[in-house]
Amino acid sequence: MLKRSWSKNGYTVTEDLDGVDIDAVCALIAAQGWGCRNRPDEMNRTALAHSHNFVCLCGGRPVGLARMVTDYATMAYVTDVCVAPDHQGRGVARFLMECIVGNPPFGGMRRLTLCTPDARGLYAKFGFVPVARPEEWMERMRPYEEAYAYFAENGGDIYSRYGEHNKEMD
Amino acid sequence: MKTYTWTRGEYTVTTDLSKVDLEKAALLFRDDGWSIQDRPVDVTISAFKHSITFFCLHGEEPVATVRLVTDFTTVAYAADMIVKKEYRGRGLSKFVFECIFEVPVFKHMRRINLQTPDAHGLYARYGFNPVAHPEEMMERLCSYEEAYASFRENRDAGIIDGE
Repeated sequence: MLKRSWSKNGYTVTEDLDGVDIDAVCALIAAQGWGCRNRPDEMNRTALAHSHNFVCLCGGRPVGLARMVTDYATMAYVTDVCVAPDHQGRGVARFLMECIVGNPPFGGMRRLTLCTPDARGLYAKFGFVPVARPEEWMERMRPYEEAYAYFAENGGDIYSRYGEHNKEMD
Repeated sequence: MKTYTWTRGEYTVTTDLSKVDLEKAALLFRDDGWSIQDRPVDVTISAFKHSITFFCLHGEEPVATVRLVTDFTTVAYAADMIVKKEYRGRGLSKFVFECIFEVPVFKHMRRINLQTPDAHGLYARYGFNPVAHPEEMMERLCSYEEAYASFRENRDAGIIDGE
């Protein structure tokens, strides 16, 4: 997998998290007003480790993030798009989206999906439209508390642990 | 990667790719009337490998599959649910979905999304509801032809591993 970076107007967007201050990336997520702002840092680290990330840096400091949950073949879900409060309104989210949809593999992917309460105008500039068949979409939601408690009890990167589980079902 | 295998009567559901003829599993989508029926086998196999894929086997034959595109932490998208025509009506989609929620991280995951034209009733049994805010959902689509060509180019250029 290539690790690329792009620079513009004093900002650099990179796919390479080596050397990036991950605590600062977690802080970006926590600085949002969303429900996930209380997501534990350890959980953010695991999520980042299993995603394809675009981090926007300014003078080496992380000031923007977009996280792609993807199979690299057919689809990606764009999530945790966030910009540091003191860098909002400076085109950071726009630069992140330019890097994502302006390059392979995401630019030519069959489907990118995202969920946004208030930034439809931004995403529309990059080819996103309201889903064509909203009646076909379903979601299974669990309370944040449950998801976080499960993670806290079971520790970090549970799916990297090697093992086999076999069970006879009724 | 931890693997899971469940058995019920003659059927097995497994997330262990080494137990599955992936090409046969990919061919389940052919001749099915789906818009993805022309998706090249190599694209489907790569998608299997970069997802947690639940394969339902009858003996060694793949007869159903569904895969979760996920970060193992906060979100998953359940894609490509299919049961081979001759095996429909035997409860295999239910078996596969029961197995998904036998995996604790999926059982307790904050959000799992899926898209279905006609099986809302099935998914409702497993806790899926119509999306609460459909107006917040956006998508960006490329044509299948463009997407398949792009997959191959990216694989050949080493931008994705493509395996």
